[in-house]
Amino acid sequence: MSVAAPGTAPPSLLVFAGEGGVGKTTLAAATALKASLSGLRVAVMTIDPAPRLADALGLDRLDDEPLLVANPEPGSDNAGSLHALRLDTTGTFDRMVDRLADDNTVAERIKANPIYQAVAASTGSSAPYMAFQRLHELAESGRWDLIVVDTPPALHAEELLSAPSRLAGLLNTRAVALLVDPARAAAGHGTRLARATATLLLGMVERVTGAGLVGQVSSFVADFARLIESMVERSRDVEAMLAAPTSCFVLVSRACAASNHAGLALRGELLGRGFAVAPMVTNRLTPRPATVVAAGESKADLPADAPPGCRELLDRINSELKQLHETETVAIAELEDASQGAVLRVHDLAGEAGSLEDLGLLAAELTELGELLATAVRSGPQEYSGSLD
Amino acid sequence: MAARFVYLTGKGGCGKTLLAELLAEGARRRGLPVLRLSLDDRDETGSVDGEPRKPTPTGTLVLDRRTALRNLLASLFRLGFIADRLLDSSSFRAVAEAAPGVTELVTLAWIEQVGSRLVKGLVVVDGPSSGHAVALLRSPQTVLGLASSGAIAGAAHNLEQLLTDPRRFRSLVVSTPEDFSLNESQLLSTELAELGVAALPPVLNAVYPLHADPAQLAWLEQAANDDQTLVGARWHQQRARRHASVIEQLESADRNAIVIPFLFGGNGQQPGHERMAAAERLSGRVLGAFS
Repeated sequence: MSVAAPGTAPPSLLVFAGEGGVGKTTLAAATALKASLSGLRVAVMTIDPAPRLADALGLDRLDDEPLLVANPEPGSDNAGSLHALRLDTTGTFDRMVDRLADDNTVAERIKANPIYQAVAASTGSSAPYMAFQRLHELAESGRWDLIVVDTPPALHAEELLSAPSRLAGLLNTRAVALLVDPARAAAGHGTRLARATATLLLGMVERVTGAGLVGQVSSFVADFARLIESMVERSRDVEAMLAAPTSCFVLVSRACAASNHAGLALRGELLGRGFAVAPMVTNRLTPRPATVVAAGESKADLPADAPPGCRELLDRINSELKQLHETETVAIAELEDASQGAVLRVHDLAGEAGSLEDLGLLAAELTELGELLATAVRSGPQEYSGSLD
Repeated sequence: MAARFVYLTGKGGCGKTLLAELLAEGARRRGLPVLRLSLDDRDETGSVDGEPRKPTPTGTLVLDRRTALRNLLASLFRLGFIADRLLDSSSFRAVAEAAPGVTELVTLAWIEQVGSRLVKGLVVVDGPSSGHAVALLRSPQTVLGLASSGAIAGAAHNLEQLLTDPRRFRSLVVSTPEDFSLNESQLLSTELAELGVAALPPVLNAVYPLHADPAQLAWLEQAANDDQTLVGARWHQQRARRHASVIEQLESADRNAIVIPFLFGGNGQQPGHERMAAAERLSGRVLGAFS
């Protein structure tokens, strides 16, 4: 099954991933802005429950529906546009249940079950899965040339990708079969000893959890088990979409040993699963001019209008910048070595990105990332002609 | 006296792990028994061992989920072999992994179990970042909402009591002095307070030092327009100036923040003077607030 709307090519996907605090959200937004300026119809989605994307775009709020952020040149030939949205985990889960359930009664019963509510609301485990469901919906709509996704902080690829198989694994287990229909499950499987053990275990579990929970679980499982096949099928579509040549993971880290370690491990896991991964991006580096001085010497003589004490002041500041620069240089070399390739460097803005103009400044920084984006998009639906830089 | 738990959290990248190390170092230097608990299975500084038989040289234990689950099961059933039998069952593992709140409850139970043996000491929990941090501390309530009777409800109830006892358990919310980080940590503090978890004063981490006086800063801002070699210093001091005004704002709102300067030497293992001073300040404020 193709994810694209009839008659259109599937959109390109850029998935930003990495541990927390590396600046994924802002980079995702800047990349999306840059692509929209080059004439693409772009959507950027965040999963982060914190209002980072809205802040970065200078918006008050964002919700589950794509909001038009920028039409770069109204009235011009540029067909590019930028929409932004923030994932609503529970809402996406509810919509999926509505669509996949046999009828309304079943859908409503599932949604009213406390187990379902806990699963749907737990941002930790179901957010990535629902994000990719939402991505699937967006891709199907045919409205976008490029979708940029900002994922929640993750240390393992599994956290990003394995929720559906975990859920499917749960629902396919014998324990669950026992919950749904103890008599039949016990009769259908294994030796009498195995059956007795299973029944005993269930009894033990019930003693620990209390009787109410087992009842709720079996009601949830009975209804939900029928959805699981469609869910697994959809997640296969999503995986295929992410593994397609028009998709690419972008791993972001900061120039320090711990961040390198986390980013490289995630990179290895994604490559191992057959996904395309762009060169590592190292973000929030000391601004370029700062490192020029840090690497060299302070100037010997200052202009006459300099207030007293400036010589000592500059020596002090430059020695701190020098330490910073050394740490970054070592970390980048380590990253290049370990990833056996180029590392994309993104330098810090003077302030925080808090408006489209700020993002534009950052977008202008993304020279190398622009090339990466161009590569990802080149094989996509539109012939890529303009330069991003 | 029972062990005191400090639960560090904050936006990803705010320096939680560094501060957990600093707090542990500082408290140890004050002669307290200290245990640092890491929930990151990639942490290589501690022993990957669910049992605190003897603290590692760094005094760090790293969560091993399987051992933690086994320990919780053993305490629930009071019989080790049943726990082992359950763990061997793939069905059980699938249920334990996917059921809401269970993974978090297992983690919390491990923290409690391992930490409580440290009588009179300080247990420094290097917790997860914002969203996960709340889910972890909410797990007793999540589990109690689903299972109101039985042994697991009893365990959840005990954990709930630990979390809401300000003499034994406090959150330490870390933020960097930027607006977005502060916004997020204020949201986080509110959510933790709603769970009944007592807070330590907020920590502002990685604060740039303002070396320039107003006249020097004004000169630097102008002069860097014409002189490239001054651009780095301007960037550095403008950042420091922004940080200083964020701190002023916080303090005018009567918030008793703990300010930790940026350590330019990086997170190196060499305990430089700046690092020792930061450890001293952090542990002093935390222990002072506890008593």
